[in-house]
Amino acid sequence: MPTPFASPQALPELEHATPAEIVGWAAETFTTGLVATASFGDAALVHLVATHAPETPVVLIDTQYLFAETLWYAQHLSERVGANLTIIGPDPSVVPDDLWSHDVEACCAARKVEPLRRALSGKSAWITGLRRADSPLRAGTPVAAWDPGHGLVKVNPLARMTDDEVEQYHLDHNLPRNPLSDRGYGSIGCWPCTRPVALGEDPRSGRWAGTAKTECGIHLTTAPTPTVPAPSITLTTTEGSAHVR
Amino acid sequence: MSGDVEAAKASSVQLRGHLAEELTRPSDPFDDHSALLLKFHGIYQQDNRDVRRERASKKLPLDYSCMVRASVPGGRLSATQWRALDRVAELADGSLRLTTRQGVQFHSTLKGNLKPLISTLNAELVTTLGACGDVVRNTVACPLPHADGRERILGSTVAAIARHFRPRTAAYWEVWLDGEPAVSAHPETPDLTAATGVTAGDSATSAVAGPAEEPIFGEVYLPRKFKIGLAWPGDNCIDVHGHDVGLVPTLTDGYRGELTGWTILVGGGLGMSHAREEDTYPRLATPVAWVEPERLIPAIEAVVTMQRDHGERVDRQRNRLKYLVDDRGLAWVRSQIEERLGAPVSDPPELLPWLEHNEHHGWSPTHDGDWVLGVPIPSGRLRDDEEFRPRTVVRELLDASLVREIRVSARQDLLLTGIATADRPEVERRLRAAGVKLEEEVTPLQRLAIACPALPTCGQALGEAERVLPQLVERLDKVFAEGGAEATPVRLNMTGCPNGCARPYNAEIGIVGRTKRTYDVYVGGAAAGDRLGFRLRADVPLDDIPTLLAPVVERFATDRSDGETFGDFCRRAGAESLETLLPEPTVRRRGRS
Repeated sequence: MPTPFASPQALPELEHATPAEIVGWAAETFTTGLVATASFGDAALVHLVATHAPETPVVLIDTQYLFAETLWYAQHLSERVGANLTIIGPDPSVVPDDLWSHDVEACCAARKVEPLRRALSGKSAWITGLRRADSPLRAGTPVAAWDPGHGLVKVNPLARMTDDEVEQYHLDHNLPRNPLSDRGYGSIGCWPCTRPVALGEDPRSGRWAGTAKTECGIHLTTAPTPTVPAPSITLTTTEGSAHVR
Repeated sequence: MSGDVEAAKASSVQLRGHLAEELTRPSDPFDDHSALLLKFHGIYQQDNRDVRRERASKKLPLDYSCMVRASVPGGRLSATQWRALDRVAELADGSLRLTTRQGVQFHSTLKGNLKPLISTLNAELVTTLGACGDVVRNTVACPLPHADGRERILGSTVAAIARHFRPRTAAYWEVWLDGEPAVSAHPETPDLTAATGVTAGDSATSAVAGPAEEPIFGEVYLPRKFKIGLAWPGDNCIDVHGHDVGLVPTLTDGYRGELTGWTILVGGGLGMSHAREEDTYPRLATPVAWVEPERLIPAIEAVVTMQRDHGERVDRQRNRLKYLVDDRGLAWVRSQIEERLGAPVSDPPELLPWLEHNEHHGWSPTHDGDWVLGVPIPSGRLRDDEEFRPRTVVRELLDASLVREIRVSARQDLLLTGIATADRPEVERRLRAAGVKLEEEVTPLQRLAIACPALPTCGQALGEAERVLPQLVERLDKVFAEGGAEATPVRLNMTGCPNGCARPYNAEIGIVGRTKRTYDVYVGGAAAGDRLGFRLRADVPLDDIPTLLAPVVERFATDRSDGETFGDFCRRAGAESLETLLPEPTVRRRGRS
């Protein structure tokens, strides 16, 4: 059964809305069913959510391998912009080990995919910082679409933003940077699997560098998890772009 | 200050202090007491000196971070150990810094990144314990795997020394590796009995971890750092005279052959204090005894415990072994060794002359039919950028099995070992493609110049060193070329302060930071490091160093005898004669020339 969220084309008015409008729309539509996740590589998403959906929890998954810089930045930025920061970690049975060095998929599954599943459980919509410019694999990222893997609506307000626009957003709002970005990290994840990238290189090439992997798995819909059929909800709460907070 | 250090050691309960509790507060800097103890764990808390003034004026806290130093006995690293070191550079400033003691340093590490950094290294049997602090430091040895297979002699001896003199405290496991016992709830009064429970695991130091007592160092450890270095007869690539204890094996055929015993040198140390020029000074180690191989470790232990029991503990400017040796005399030192060994030792034989001084740059055959390639690394700094990608290329050479192991030299360079004859062109091609310059592609001065890290990280630095070395070398290369002595191999050692980490005082040209802008310039040290230089001039602005040396270089070009090195020429000419050549000083500090 086709639903408004079955494909990115389903919400043409959102496709042309600004990131702020998209976040505002999500807040009005899903209210307490909304959750955001952020990796704190930069400040754009966190600032948008804090400004236009201030009650929404902004979840950082502490995989046990976050850079101290990222943890510091998450606290610092959240205080500065007033974000509702929530840090969650893997199951208590998961402890730092050397899994990352020989089975990176299992490491991501235990430290990131599973905690995310918990963070999303009971929620109806999920805001992420995915952008089409991130990588070729993300070029088709919809602004909002049904996520059958997690059984909720996945909202990607930054989907259309270019690297330059993200940069400009930081300047416009005088937002601090993750200290690691000054050291050449284009995309920031766990320290054992993140490297800086050269100027002009694909920013995500520094993730799991030296392997074909570019996604930890939380944004993959082909993950071996049961897919949840989309409920038949219709979105009539928004009249396009003019009517947002 | 020294009272503080001694008191801190005594009250630390074998280096525990309240470090574990400190680590639960990642945003606060370590307090002074903890910062002192951290050194024994291989960590210096530092602050970014580039922003110190600005922050102080705005009443902001200083920009604190840590330098972490891995101890690498003999500079030998397996491929997996190198990969771990390369990996954790992401937890620091993204660079690996090879040191003059064959270690690997990480700079600008945040407090919260210390535990993952150290535990990751330990998983590959690399430790930071004892890399700094008042203990026996990383043991240095010639890194070359010689074609005749004799590296096993130094290799096994270095490993035995490193094992024997490692601190035994379990504090390291407790603090960094989550070893048992867990963090005490009362850091002020740690549970002493609990400290005996050492986890075995596969950590680098577990093999020697015993009860939490220090049979060699005792409760208050040594008065000061204690350095041991091993050189081959004729090959002084590690500067054996610069160590508290220098060791040179005697071999059946002189420069080669089977091991018959060891010549022990004592009292080397290449640091001094500007404020104490009357009674602090660099000193070269002097031969004191010869022992058979089986008595080597007990003999070294005798020197270490002699320094522990008799070394200065009040005046921290004067508590290196060299001052004890000079104050009491070599005969007393020898009697101490004999007393502690319970048996006489032999007179030291005269050391064989140092042959052509060798940095092991370029290709050398190894005993297994493979090759080793010595690659000069400017100031030992491995940091990838657009033009120079040393980290990436070394990683890829190891991953492709083109290189088997890594060695770090005492001149901050890399030796890549286990290269098959057929792979030599490919290894060179990949290094060049990554912007790494090989021996023949740089000037002798470029590959022989070394510097300490100095500003902005080192808290001791008075002036710049590593950051200004490339420009200084470029200008000095011009001086040598225009003076008619192009491509002369000259060893230039530069430090940002008089403590002398980069061994400036026995270099052919030594440059020592005196203030933010000026340096003391030394010349006349021996290429082989067995003669101290003399101060040509004090307080020279950085920009004036080339013009100061230009007339000396010109005279060297015309007056040098056949094959004479720059250092030997300067010594022969002497300070007074060279002084007449020099330009007028441009800056004169009150009370000094």
